[in-house]
Amino acid sequence: MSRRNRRRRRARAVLLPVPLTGIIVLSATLALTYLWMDHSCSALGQQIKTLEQRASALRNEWVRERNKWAAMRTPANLEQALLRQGLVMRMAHPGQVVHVSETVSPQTPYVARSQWARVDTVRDP
Amino acid sequence: MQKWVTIRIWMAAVFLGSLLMMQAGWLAHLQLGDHSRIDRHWAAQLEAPRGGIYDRRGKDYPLAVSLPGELIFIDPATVSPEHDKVSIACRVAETLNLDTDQVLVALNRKDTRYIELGVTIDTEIANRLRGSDVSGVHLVDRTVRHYPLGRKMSHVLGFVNAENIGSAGVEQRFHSLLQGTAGFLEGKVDARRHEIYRERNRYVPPIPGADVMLTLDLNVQYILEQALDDGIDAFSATGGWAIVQRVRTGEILAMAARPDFDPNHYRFVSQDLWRNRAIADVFEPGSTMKALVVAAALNEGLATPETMIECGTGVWMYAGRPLRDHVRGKASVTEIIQRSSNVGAAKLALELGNQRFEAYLRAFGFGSRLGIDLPGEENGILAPARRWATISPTRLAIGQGIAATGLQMLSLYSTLANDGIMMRPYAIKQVRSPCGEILHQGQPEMIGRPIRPEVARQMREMLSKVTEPGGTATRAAIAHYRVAGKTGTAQIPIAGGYSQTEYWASFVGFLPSEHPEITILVVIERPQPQRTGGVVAAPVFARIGESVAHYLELLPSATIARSLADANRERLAGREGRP
Repeated sequence: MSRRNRRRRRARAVLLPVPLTGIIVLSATLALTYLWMDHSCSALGQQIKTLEQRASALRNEWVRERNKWAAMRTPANLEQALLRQGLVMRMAHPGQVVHVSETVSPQTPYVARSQWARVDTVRDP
Repeated sequence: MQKWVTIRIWMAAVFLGSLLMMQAGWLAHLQLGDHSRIDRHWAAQLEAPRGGIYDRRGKDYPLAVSLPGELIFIDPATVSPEHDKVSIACRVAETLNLDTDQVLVALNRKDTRYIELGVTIDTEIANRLRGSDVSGVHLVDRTVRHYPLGRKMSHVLGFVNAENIGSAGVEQRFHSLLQGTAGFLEGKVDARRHEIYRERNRYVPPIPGADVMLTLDLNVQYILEQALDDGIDAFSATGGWAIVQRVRTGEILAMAARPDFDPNHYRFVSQDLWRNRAIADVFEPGSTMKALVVAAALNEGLATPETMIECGTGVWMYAGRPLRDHVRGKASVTEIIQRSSNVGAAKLALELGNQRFEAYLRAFGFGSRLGIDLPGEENGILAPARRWATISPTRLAIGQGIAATGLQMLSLYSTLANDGIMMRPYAIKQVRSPCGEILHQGQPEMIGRPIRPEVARQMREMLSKVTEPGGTATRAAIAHYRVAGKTGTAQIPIAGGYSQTEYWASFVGFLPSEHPEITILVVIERPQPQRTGGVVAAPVFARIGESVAHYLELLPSATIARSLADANRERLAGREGRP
């Protein structure tokens, strides 16, 4: 009696046929995969958008800082900064500048031969 | 009982299954269905960053840049009832440096929901206005064209108007290259109108505008503007203009005109101030024109620097009209230049004859544009010789009856300094696209050679005497450099004649005169009480010339003379040593 009941219960427990179950499981898997991929794409898209905004903000910040730096280096600002520090600076007087001609040929020494000799003497006692 | 339980289980399963199926169907519909009726489409034009303008040394020295900023406006309808309008007005006025009453009136307005207060590039200002206790004040992202130098170089740079169109100066001349090409973005948005990135179906990135590099140097410009401002202040003048040019190439190193304006606030000044007077205004040059007459006479072989000319007794009557002169008796052509004799110059002009005189004037670029790469250049006024009156050549010789731009006068002296070679003036060194492609390259260009090199050398020598003792412009002399130039003092024309109280005082010259490197023009308008070029404009010239010569490290005249002497000695030694 009890064996027959068990068999009946087992027979009743199989509610869906195997192929249908397979199809349902496959569909569910596909749907879940689709949802997962969809979610991943959205998350990546969101991440890209955030990074785009961050890049734009950084670019803006860079432009602002570069402008501030350039403004600080204008002649007027430099002059004011020097005044604040109590520094007086003037351009070099033409008489204070030594001009070395670029057209001097390699054979023409800039330093007199006697000076070369002295240098040699120091190096080689 | 068992059967009833089974039935209930099946009913529940069917019910839940149906529910799930409906939800699945709805999800599939949402995901895959046609939702064309719901407008999720979104498209936006992406603004291209406008290219920058830089000085001759490149991108480290910006003169005009586009910065991310914020537009500030008031929407009176959004002022929170919890906030006190007076305190909001005080805070906004203090932050933006506005009048408190004006802001309060704006906050109380009922007829509009948009009152613009201005734009700012300062993030601190923007943050202060974003505070939770400031309602009704809104900020919107906006790209702002910014000119870090303020008023400096304003006429050369120009400005960009509210529609983002370059409207003066370099901004106008190179607008098409500076503006870039806008990008495009097309896609879909979610229910909150946020872009769905994976639904982005078209993205054309914007192409930034090209960068413009000028031939102007920030430091030379600073020197020039400081000296010009001081000169104008010292003589209570109404305006003035000045230019520095490199002799050999024609490059403009600095250019300024007064009165000026701040391109960051161009809307708040009269349109007259936008004009670059150094190239767009004409004036009667006065005695600075005498150099042309003498150069033409030398070039035609009608005179030499030593030729003596009778200048009369102070008043010379010609065609029934008197011409006054402070040089009396006989004077050499060199003295005519050195002491600025009106009669001497007039007699040389008569010697030339109208046709030849006009030909020289036109050959030196008078009466037509020189073709500088800045907008607004004027032709000047020069009537054809066939329409000249009998006295015209005598007046043209002293710079009356002709109108020239400052640039034309500068070009005349640059030509004399450059062995008679006339170069086209240019202010743009390069225009470069963001990918490094050169779209425009400013290059030295010869546009004429009106006189022979030896005549130019003679002129340089004669013009050097002007700044030496006995000349009219000893105040233009600079220590260590020999300066050549000429003063000009011209009455300003008024209806029916010339003003007796208003003058243009000018000085044009170059240095070092042995081997000229730079030409400088200074014009001061309506100086008081002194009004001669030698007193008013020559000191400004000297101050600019000295500082610029030091800055550019020009060789002092003594060094040049020594080098020239050495070169001559070597040449002679070489000749003697040759078999």
